[in-house]
Amino acid sequence: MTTKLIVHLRVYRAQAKLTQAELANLIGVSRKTINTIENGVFTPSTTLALTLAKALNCSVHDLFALPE
Amino acid sequence: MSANPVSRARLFGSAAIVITTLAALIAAVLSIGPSGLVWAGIIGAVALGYAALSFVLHLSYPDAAEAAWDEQNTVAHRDSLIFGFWAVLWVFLVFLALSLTGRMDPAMAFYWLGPVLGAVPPAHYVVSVLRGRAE
Repeated sequence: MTTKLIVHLRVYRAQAKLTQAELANLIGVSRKTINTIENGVFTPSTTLALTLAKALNCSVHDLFALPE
Repeated sequence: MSANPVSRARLFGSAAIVITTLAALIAAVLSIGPSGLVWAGIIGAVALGYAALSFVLHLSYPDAAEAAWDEQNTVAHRDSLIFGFWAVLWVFLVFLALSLTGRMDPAMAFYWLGPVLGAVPPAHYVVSVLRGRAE
């Protein structure tokens, strides 16, 4: 089963006033990875999702959601 | 283009291997240029040069290396190896059929499996980068 994930990462990153490159450097991934996650091209692992949530001071549920 | 030196070296190194192998293939088909053994040496030198450069960059920029081998790039790299495995398998079967029917010299078939094995995964990775699926 492949479900398209709803991604709010861009909104929370903008609220934190971080660029894609700054967020990428903060958690040790490439800028392309942040870019593709935001565009829904790449689905991150649980570990990376938790790392992103921690870096942006929110929960994983704030960043990602399943379609209704 | 990525600012990460490790990612940049990986992209140029992969592209160099693919271009060298394609040049060898075209030269062999057109029967021009140096012998197959010389081409094998050139392809090998390019691959070893890239490996040495990559090794030095990994030691010099450990943080960049970690970012260059993050989750997404590791997945793209694994996909390129899987694609390479299937490509070699199919090329082997084609070469086997050509050899058994006398249309290809078995020694030549064995020789060309090497470049396919070496060049297809980097080619797949370069395409992934161009499609924005890796860095």
